[in-house]
Amino acid sequence: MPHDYDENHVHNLLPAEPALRVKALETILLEKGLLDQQAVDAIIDEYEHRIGPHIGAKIVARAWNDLVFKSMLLEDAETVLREEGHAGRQGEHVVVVENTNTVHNLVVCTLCSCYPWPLLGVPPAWYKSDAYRSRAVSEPRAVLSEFGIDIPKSRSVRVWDSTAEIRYLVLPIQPKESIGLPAPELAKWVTRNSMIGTGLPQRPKDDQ
Amino acid sequence: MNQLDHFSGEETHKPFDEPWHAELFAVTVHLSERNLFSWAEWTDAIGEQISKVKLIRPIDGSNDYYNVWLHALIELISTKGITDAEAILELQNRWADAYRNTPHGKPVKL
Repeated sequence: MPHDYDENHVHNLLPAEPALRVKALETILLEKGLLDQQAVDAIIDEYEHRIGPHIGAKIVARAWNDLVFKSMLLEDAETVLREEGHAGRQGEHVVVVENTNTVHNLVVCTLCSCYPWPLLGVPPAWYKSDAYRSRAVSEPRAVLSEFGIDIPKSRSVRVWDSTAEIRYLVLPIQPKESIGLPAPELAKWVTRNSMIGTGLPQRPKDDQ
Repeated sequence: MNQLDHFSGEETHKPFDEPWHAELFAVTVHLSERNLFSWAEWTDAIGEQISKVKLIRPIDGSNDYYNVWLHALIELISTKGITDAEAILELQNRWADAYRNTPHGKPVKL
């Protein structure tokens, strides 16, 4: 239709309604001197380009290779992460929970989407969905099986509900085939989902 | 149908699906860091909003979630007396007009 052509090509494309509302909100905050656009851009850049699951993977790989580091991490992750420079936002009060032959840990936030940002970045969409939020608690084994993990009956499943005060990171079981590898190689085995509990470490794709 | 089927095996780290999700996320973090509200106040606000909406329908983790987030943020800063939904709507309409009336390729300004 000529009208559509006009809207899309002669004039600027109208952003979606919520995008316009966010723009309006930013305009008001800027006018009131409550917002520094450069600081906002820096936050976006940080979470888009610098912070992500590769950081958590490095920590897990080190724990697999270094038993002293591992016990310190399980004992007092907050101090260890602060010393490693990973305290950042939502990094306060991180607790690391270890998967063993008797326990599989699963992390959720039933209230909103609390998550250890400095170690894993921004949570994936499914972590923020109602389906995951409610079912991870009511039927964790069914949820795990949909993620492709079947936990034997002999192993209990423990669900950790994150809050603004405490956030969890799962220390997965190290795959036998990866034992002896140097930490930088090991880190490639650690998937994001394995640190949430909805996945297991995997042989890196370039190694298959 | 399994509600989580489409998530299985998904391992790509894509922080934000849309630019406005990123803007909204960063604005919220920024306002909290400027002490306009504490992070606990924020999680309470969004938690309350999620609880209300999920009584009516399940929330997906993308556009839907950030729409709920936006609503919660506007309510929270309204209770702080910073602005209100009406003022935001008025400005939103002005931005929409500006987009409609600005020739393609020219920067959109109010």
